[in-house]
Amino acid sequence: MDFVETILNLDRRIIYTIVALLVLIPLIKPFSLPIKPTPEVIGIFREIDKLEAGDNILIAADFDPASKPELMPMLEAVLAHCFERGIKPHVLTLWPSGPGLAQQAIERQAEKYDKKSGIDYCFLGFRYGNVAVILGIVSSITDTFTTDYYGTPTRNMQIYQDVDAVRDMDYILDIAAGATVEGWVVYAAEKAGVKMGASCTAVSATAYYPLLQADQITGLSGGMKGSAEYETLLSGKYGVPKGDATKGMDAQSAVHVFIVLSIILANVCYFISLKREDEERRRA
Amino acid sequence: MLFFKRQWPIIIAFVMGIVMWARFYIPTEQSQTLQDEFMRWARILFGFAAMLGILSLLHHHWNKIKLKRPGFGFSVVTLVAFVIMALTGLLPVSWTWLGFADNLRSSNGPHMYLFEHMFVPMQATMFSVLAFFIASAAFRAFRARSIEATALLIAGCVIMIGRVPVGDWLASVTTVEMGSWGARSLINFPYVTDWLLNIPNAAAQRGIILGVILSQIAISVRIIFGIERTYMGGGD
Amino acid sequence: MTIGEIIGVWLAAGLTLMMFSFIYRDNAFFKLGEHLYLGISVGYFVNIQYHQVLVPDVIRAIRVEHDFWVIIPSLLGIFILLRLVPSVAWLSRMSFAFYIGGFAGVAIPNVIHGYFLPQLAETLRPFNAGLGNNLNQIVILLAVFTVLIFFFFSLEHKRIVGGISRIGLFFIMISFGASFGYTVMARISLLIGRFQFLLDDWIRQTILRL
Repeated sequence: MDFVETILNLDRRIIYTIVALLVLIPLIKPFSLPIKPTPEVIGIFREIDKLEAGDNILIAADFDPASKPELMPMLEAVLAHCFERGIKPHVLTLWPSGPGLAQQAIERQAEKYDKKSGIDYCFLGFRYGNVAVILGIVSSITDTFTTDYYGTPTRNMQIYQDVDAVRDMDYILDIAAGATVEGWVVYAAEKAGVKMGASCTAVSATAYYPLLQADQITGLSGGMKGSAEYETLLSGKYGVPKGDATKGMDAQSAVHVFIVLSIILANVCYFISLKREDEERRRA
Repeated sequence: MLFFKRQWPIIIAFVMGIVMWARFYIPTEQSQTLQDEFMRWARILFGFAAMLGILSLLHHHWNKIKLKRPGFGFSVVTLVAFVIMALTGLLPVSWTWLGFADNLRSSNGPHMYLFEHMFVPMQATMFSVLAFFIASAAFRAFRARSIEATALLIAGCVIMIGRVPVGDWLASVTTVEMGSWGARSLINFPYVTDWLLNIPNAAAQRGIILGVILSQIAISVRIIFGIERTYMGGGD
Repeated sequence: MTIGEIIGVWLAAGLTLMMFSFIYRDNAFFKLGEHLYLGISVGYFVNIQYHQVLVPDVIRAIRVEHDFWVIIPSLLGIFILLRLVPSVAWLSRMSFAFYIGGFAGVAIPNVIHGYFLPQLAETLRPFNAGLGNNLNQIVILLAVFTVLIFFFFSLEHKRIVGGISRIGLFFIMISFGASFGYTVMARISLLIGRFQFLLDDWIRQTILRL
């Protein structure tokens, strides 16, 4: 078997091993390539950074552990950004498997910045119904979430004495692993006239560019790279330590280069084999 | 009886659909209250609908054990795991003797312990395994067999490099001074990626979105007027 | 790290490796993990169901707020559960008709107003933003039009229509290529996340104690 045939019939276990090594090695010994924030992510960072202390931001943590490496760093970074600036985050989730991760992120950041639930932030938790929840909070947050995640009635909370609906929010951010962004845009941002940003998994990032172009969202962060860009912006301006997304970027680069090179190599070999077959047919 | 089984649901869907549709054009306090109440009811209904899924799954595994079908041992694992996970969050008992917090909703409670150390790693790993398969599939099946396939391949490869730091690095190391043009990068994947995502990709996605919206509207109209009845299921 | 945390990390690492064993081939360890995951996730959802739906929206509403209206949607909810009982399964149709009909009515005006029209307006923007942007605008117009033609199946895709839809397909392929690039990115990110856990939380913190 010559080189071309070897490549075309390469054992999948060799590819698996290379992928595993290319993830592992940069994690053990990072080469720290600089991360350049894109205008899409700057569009979210800038809007949140423009808010003043005491302003309110609605964060929908619509993701579960399956997208944790991509979106959890974004949630943590945005929460750190809010607490750093004195902005009050109202966190909720439309995903039934979402509250666990959101709880971890908000408790960790609140402890770090010494923030109090019900005063500086509120973790509303989860309610079933997607659009029914969005339209509910467009009308009244305390009627839709009568209690927060921990079972404390929301109506008496200090944080809800001056605000009670999406229109009272100063920004909306949907951190989404599924198709919830459209729902937030159509039923919340457009209806209440509040600016919105979207952070989504890389898989769905391309689908939200029309929203970005039409200014229906101010910014778009796609996957772990988007989260790493946000961490870079936050670290650059406020000195907040970079998180897991930034640490993973070298491995991401290494595997991407391998996959692109392997696609090129496989295609070159494929065309050589086609040419050979053609020649053999002509000879026959 | 047949009227209640077949016609009554269609009447309910029609009335609800027309009322909620018309409500949009009547911005009064009463119409807002009507929508708020509908949304509240819908949230409770969604909760029960989700419970239906849980019940039918448990029913399936219970039957498998009862009839001792092949692999019923795995169903035992499912049910035992379910009972333990459910009870740690529902039973109002103290778990402090095991070093856990007293509050069931606390992140230091037993329920969140199982969530963090079982649910999270299992779900995350299940999806991460796809990384190996997608790399292998790209190598084996991604071929420039036609113009369309070539467009797909080139766009995919450009974005894979242009959206990670190595793309920025390549652009910076190949930057040269070009007189009055200023500094220009010779291999600028991030620039091409930006254009691809913001222009042809956004436009194609918009075409798809507009098509989806039109079909969503058509389906909604069909539901309201009783032409689309799949939600009724089979039988009488 | 406490003993509990160390046990938790070892448990998570063991389960991670169990799920990774699928890469080699489908095996009993993976099946065990798969069923364990199923049970754990259903148990988790039951808790969410109880604490985030039943308690605040039904039990608290009746007991604390004395709001007895919630009995009606609760009854409709019980109708949904009756789908499991064949003789009265038809009752669930009332509940489905109620919310599917209602949401169809909610969706039509909202989607047109908040999604369709803004997207259409952005597509039909005037050409007054400089040469580069105008050229891009032409590409956008062409792409949106040809993609819509591609999905218009009431006309046979032959001759001019076939040619236009082929251009649409070309744009769709560019978009799918972009999606593919991003999908690779997503899957690799998830793998990085698991390796970060195995390296940092498991090996470094519990084995090497760094």
